Amino acid sequence: MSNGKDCRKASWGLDLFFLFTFEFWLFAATKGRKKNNVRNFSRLPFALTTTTKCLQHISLSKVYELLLRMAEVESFSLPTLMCDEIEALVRGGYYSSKSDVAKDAIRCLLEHKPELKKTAAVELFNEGKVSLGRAAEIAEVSTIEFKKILADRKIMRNMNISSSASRKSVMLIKSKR
Amino acid sequence: MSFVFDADIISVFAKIDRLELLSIVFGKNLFMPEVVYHDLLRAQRAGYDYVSGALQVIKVMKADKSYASLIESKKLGAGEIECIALCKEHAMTFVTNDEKVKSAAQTLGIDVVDLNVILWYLKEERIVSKEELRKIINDIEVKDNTVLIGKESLLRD
Repeated sequence: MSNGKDCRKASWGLDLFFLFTFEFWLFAATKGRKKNNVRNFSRLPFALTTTTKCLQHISLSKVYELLLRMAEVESFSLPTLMCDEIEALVRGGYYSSKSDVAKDAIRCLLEHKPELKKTAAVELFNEGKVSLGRAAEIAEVSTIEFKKILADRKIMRNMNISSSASRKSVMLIKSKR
Repeated sequence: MSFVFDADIISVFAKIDRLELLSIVFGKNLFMPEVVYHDLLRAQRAGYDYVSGALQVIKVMKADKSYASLIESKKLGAGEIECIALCKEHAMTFVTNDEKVKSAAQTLGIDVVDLNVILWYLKEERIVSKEELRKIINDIEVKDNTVLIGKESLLRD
């Protein structure tokens, strides 16, 4: 058990190391150029290659994984008045950051429009991003109810019937019984 | 040996009213974790009465929470995670039909059985006749909203 925890800690440590190294190279490659607080990503491929070359022990998939994590930062266009209101809420101490305002806004939206939760869950499941059980949790219904939601939206689940893999597994059932 | 079931696979056989097949295929040691039990109970209370049979056939087993915490995934449901934890803890076989869950369990070295295997087992062990198998397949497709791609191979002699 402790091994698992240690591994996770080690993994996080490595992730942080990779992230900082990648950020450094990204900064160097883009020469730290920022416009309107948005970094210039035009030389991103160069940064990626350099990082990969210099840190040969990092697999490319790890770099992409980190890139994907960074991509979780979303940007939105909002009317000026709304931006002012958000900033006022942060300045007034109601929220600690603009991100917290956005998070609370999304939470409220999903709370007031539960149908959107179901839609989000269906989409995530359909795209293969979450399992059936997780999708049901997101939709805040039971697994069986979620399967009904899929059926109502005419979303069929596919299952391949393959004899080769199954014959081995049939032996597995016999051996485990 | 024992088998752990998630809510998805239980609901397939409950919907087609053939829960007894699970006992025939897997024997008497059928388990589900508490989260799956509550998930089914919630469905029953929402009017899905067919799950009541499953609540009697499949026994509830408590998963060790420390094992469950090892499976840190935002992509799996709590029930699925507890199934994996139970299998890991007691060296049991996991019965599920979800590709994501299957892959997560297999990564942890857990033996996994899915609907495909169950159907082949029914055929190979001659537990049901060809006509019965055809009806089971048809019922699963219609009632569980699932397309069984390549089902013809199951129905061939």
